[in-house]
Amino acid sequence: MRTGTARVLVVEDDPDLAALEAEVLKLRGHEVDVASNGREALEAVDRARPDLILLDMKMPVMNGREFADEYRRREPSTAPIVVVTAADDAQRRAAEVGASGWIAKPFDPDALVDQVARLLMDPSDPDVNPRG
Amino acid sequence: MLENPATHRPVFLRSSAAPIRDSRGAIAGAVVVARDVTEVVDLERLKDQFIRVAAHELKTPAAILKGYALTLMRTDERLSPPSRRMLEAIDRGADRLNRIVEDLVDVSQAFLDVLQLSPSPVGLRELVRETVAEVPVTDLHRIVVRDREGPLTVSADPARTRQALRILLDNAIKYSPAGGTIEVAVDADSERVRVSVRDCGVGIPTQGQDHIFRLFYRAHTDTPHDYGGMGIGLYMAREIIKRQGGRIWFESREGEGSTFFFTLPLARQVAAS
Repeated sequence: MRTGTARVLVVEDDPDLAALEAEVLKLRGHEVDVASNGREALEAVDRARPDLILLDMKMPVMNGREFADEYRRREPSTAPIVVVTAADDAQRRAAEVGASGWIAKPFDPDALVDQVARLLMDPSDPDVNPRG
Repeated sequence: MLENPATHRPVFLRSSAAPIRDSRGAIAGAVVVARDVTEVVDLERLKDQFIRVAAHELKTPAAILKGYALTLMRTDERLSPPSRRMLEAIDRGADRLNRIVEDLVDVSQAFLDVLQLSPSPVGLRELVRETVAEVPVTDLHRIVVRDREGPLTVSADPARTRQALRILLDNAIKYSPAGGTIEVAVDADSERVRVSVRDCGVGIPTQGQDHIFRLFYRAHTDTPHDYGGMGIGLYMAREIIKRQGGRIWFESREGEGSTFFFTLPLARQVAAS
């Protein structure tokens, strides 16, 4: 990982919102992969390991929670997850999947890139380091 | 649990009881009336579910509007001032849409009695100053804050308390179309903190004054001062203050403005044991 920039996986079923998240991250120099549901996200993780994952919760085929469970089951060391959700209890949703952060929709794109930067900088975050 | 034998679903009852007295006034028995309100409860839940789904679905397009408008504003350096103002309007529209959606969710929760309040020690003076600073200022309006020295700590949910104050501030601006100064004051006695928001706006018509905290009631409907809205704000403000042991009221005269007050009990100093 280059200093300050990383490989980010955007998991979001709305194509316009996924494109927005990808665009603002690319403007900050990050490499971005996009998946439109949990199933695609698992495939994307297999192809290229992300440094951080932005995860929508309500998605067809495989939702955010199912993805997070399956991802943790498969991988010995996982990337930090930031939950990006329209649910009115975003913080609780994030805690449920053991996410490192959360963003409530609608959001200021700067808040999103700032949170990504903060998590990439802080190696003390438990989710950044391998578990067990 | 009582079950409906036909549907095998639980039955909700609303019951009332009264004693039956004999000629000497001694209680000889009782009459109990139980009414099956399952359908009413089902309907309330269905309404809540509908609001939650609709809210969730509306927030994604609001995120698209806000996100792209802000990104365009920040990345396109050749943007003309009118184009910039248009994008700012889109951003404000998205915020407004989001507030309406959140209001509907709040009302639904307050109605079902599941409104979430997480009290913690809050400095009310700081909370008031921060909330005032968040209000978008116009050229017409000025907000001044008068408060006093010393800590004014209450036990309250900070986000919800901010929400209640913001409702009063937004109303003060909305119903002062000619502009003017809005005075926010924070006082306290030994028991409670009192916050007031005073405007010199259009005031509240006398005939509407008894109803303004009622859900969906709008005192200015079909008057020259109908500036829109759903009749949710003051209902929510009262729910939030009431549920935190406080009181909310107002003084108003039509044409001379309104002052809204609310109190919250001061947090008790707990001696370290």
